[in-house]
Amino acid sequence: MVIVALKIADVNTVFGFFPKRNVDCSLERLISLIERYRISKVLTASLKAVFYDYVEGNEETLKSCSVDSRLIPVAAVDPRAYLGELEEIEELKKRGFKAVRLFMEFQSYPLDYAPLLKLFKNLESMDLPLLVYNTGYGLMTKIARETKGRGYPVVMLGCSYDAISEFIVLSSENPHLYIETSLLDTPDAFELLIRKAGSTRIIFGSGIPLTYFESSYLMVEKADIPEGDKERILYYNLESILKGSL
Amino acid sequence: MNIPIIDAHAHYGKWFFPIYADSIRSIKNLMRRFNIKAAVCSSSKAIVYDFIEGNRELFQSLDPSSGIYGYVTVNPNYLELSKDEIERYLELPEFRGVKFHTAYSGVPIDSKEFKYLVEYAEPYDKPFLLHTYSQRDVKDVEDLAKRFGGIKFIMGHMGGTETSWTGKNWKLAISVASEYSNIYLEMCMTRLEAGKIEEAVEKVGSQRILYGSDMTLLNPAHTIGMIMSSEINREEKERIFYVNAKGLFKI
Repeated sequence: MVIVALKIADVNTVFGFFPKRNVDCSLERLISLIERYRISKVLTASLKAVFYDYVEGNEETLKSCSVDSRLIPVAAVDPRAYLGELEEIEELKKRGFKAVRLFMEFQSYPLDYAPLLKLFKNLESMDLPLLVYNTGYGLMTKIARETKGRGYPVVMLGCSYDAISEFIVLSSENPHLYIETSLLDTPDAFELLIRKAGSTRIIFGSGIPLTYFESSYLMVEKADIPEGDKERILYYNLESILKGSL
Repeated sequence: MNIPIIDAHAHYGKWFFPIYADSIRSIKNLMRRFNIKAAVCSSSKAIVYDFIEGNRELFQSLDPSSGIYGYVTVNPNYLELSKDEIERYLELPEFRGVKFHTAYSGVPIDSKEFKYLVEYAEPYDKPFLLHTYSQRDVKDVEDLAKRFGGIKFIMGHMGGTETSWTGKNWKLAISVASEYSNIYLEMCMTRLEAGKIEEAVEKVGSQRILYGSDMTLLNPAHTIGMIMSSEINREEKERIFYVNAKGLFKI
């Protein structure tokens, strides 16, 4: 096991029941991984909100996070059931959610979809980061276009070798766009991204408990980049977009 | 990381993505950084474009004294030329196996052309690394393993993953490998789903699982981290990282 020496905040975790295969995603499992790797904070959402009912799942997220200060609540919004009401999003913020996450990778709706476009608009005055999993070529380009100038940061999760050029090209014109690290798996991804987009645009995420934590962590820890950049990626960039809410 | 590593799935050459760590010097740097004592590489050019030019460039770059060995890549669309490549390289000590990528060549593992090449290479007694990224690929390897019991086949990517998040491909790969002692599993891929190493060790045994990085496309840290995180014991990790490949490739 890697001995984690740096302070870590993880933008990409979930908990609950995973119906697609037999894997332990329970809250207890998530907490055991947080303890094993000494992770300071995790942004997390209930899988009930992903696979069943997002309102009920968000309640579970709030309840679970209220008893452990390392867990930061993320609201899932499922556009297939969202009626476009601004008040609903305002209520999420009032109740303490620190970010909103889309689960397009599991819910399979298109980007050009009225409830989703309404959500992008309704998030304008909320100042909550939006987390989106990258599902293929072009999605990030469209997300950047639809969220540009709306005043909230967007973190693209699950970006691999096929998304690096897209992010670099978008980064200069879209200062609200950030890239998450869990699948940044080319040998020089961090070195290149820092050179082209800057270390402040990269945010650590692992995908636990659906994945192996050290896969994500080692890529940062072993990158040929200054220690200060590692610290920013592993913790302070997320703290910055949450405006000190960590 | 103090466990030495042999990388059973590495590449030399460029990819059509923004990756600049693709030279032999970069490979040596990565090997030093991650304690990789040997890497068996195929040419990316040979896989995605011209296998003859790619094999030649790879041969010129191999350096066994630094632990850099090769796979000769075949393309069954060019049967006679593939035979020539096998003859030219496979008996050389620098080359430790044969690489075949079904997706880039468009030829299924189960094709009569590829089976012909397997038969042709059989006397050299070196393993085949096969790209597997679907249930069909896995079933095709099963058929090969049944027919060519004396040849060792490595399922590259362990069947792969797919967008359904079900793990069906790698679960099938584990199931097939558990039945055939001449099938090895190699597990590199982008999305590393929790539990698969533990399941592979439980059902296949740690003796037929190999570490692979997929460098220069992927970062060795990604797969190393998966094995380090997995809930198996140190002896099993040592076999996966080093011992199994040392025996298989006779390094």
